[in-house]
Amino acid sequence: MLDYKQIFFTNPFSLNIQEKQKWFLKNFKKLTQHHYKNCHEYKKISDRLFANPNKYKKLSNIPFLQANLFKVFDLRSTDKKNLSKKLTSSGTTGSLKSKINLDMKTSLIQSKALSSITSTIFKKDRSKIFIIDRDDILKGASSLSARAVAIKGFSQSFKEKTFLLDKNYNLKIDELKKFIKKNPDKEFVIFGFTSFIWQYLIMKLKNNKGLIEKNKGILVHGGGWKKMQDQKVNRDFFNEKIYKKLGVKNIYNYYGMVEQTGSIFLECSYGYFHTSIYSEIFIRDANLKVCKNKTYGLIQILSLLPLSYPGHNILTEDIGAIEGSDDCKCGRKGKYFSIKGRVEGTEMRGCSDVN
Amino acid sequence: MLIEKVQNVETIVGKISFNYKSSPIFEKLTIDFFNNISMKIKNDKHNFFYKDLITFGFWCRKSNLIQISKSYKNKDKMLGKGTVLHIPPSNVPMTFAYSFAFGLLSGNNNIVRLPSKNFNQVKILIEIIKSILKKREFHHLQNKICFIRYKKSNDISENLSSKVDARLIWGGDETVKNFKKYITQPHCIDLAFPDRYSASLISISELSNINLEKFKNLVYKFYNDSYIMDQNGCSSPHVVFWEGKNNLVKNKFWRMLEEVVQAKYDYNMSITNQKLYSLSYNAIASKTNFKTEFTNFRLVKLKIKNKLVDIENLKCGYGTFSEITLNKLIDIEKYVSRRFQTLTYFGYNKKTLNKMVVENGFLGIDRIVPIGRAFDIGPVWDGHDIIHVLSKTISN
Repeated sequence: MLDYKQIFFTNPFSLNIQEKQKWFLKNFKKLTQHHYKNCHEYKKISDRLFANPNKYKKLSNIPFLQANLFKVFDLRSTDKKNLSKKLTSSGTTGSLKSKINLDMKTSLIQSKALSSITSTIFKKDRSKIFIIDRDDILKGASSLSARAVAIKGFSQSFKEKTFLLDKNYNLKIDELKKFIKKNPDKEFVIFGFTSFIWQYLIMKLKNNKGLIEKNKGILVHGGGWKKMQDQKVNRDFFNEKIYKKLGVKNIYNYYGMVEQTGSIFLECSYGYFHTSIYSEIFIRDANLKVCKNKTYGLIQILSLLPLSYPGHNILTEDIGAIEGSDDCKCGRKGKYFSIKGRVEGTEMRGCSDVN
Repeated sequence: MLIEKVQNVETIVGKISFNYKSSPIFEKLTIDFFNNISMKIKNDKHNFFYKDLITFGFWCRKSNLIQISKSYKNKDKMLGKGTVLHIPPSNVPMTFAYSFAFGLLSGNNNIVRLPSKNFNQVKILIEIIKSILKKREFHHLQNKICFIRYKKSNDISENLSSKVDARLIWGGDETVKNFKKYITQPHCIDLAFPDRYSASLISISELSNINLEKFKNLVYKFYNDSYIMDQNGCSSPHVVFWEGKNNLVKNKFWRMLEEVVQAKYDYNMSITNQKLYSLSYNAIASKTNFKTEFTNFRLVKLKIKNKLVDIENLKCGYGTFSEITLNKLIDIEKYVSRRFQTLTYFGYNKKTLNKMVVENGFLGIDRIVPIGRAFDIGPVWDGHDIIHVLSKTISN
């Protein structure tokens, strides 16, 4: 198996596509064989829908799982007794949630990878993070929501964390104001789900001109734009409002799924999402064939991190396009892409349904 | 007559009532009523967009209903059981209309729960029914027709179930199981339509003998049977039994089907996702070992590796077919389970197939129709004569 210790010392965006290709394929094949051997559901899908794992010459031919399978099957690639935690997707109320089985090792490498990716935007000395969520969110026992996992991951190496919402989602903005007044030159981070930042932070702030001075804040958010699109809020408008109301200019969105915690895709200041050394992406058309660059299709994401469950290779319900590789103006190497939204849902038709 | 107001139930047409008297089967008034519906559907060009509505309109025309009534030799001694509760599936627009028609034609009073999704063709048909009921000649029918809508609720379903004389429960295993839990009147009769699967039977030797035009026509009919409702309908074939071994003919069939599918099937990336999910689900759940084969994901074939096949658990939908080659026709026996509903065929005599099912005592196969007629609905469905079940016959 891959020597994870080593890769955490590499800049996650430093490999160009040629350097990455062979190395990634070699390690991903090993990871695939691990899941093939240890997860009988993954083996059955591989055997019946794809080809024998020893025959994969190309990364794009390696068997992938449709994301919703995690909602119905309890998928794992290790003995039950090794599992330490279960994550669940945020999912809309009433719908089924994805269940992710974690062991200690997977948790550890996922948080290390996240830390290595965020180190390209945060300073080494991480002193203060403000979290746009309620402070009891982390108090789950052995089962954690996707939101809690993201908060835990992003805030892990900060000396001080402050939750800016109370139990009723009321904003406690004074905490932030006090901090800026006291430490006008100190870097700090604001983190939260995209929809939370909009609904509970931005919408709740009156025009705060002068109240929160220009500052050294960095805002990081993820979790998807679905709710925002319903309100016709796009990236530019979102970022502009944040700047106007909070004085924060450095804003980073990220794309990630609970099935691939850790190896998130960070959005650069040019608006593109970037693969890292831990991850890879393909775009597939309606025939499941790999699309050319700049063609929209279903997003398939690969991650080197999941060991205890077969979440290493997933076909999502999101639509996106690869915009290029190695040549983004932000300087990050590897493939970069854009996201259009979720695939338009079609209703299930047929005689059988629940009344 | 007992009129009830049930909380949280929206009545769209009529009133909820029980114990109203019933009528003779195929009463002239009822046939005229449906003929009026038939004309109204036909006369509005806007309706042509809804093929299922048009089909229903054509089905409920006077001449067809009279034709159907002819097979009930004891008509003069038959009348409705009383009040029927109809629970059609929520995601197929027109099943409610046929269910309602069987209920009214058999002389019953009807409480029909409309599909929860507000399909346009449902709205149109309801408006038509409302306007016809206003006509003086059909006033009498107002007491016999009630359309309601309510959100999934055990309390309401249980309340209604406890008072009716018969229930038609569509919508698959889960719905049927749920409704069977409720306590009903001791005399209440249920017709339940659980999950089924269906298959096609094709004679290779007959298929080799037809000209290209007829071949194309057959493939087109097969397409219609299969791809309507994404192959999730109970009557859509998802297995093809070939009698005979000529691979050239089989390949020609699939190649031509692929062309039709590519041209006609309303396909998108959401279906790709759902299809990959359902194939994966079956790959995990099925005892049968298979391998997928496709050049175009719209048409996937499952190559079966086992000798014994659990075909009822190989229903993936969205254009997925298993192929089974039979050395001789009777070999089909080992694949027939109780869940097997419709056998669509090409190259056989109907009588031969009927005889095979009857003489060998097959538990499955309730319908045997030519390819292209998988969705032709009639008063005999899933092996039940619905008119007979919903009516009483006076014995002398």
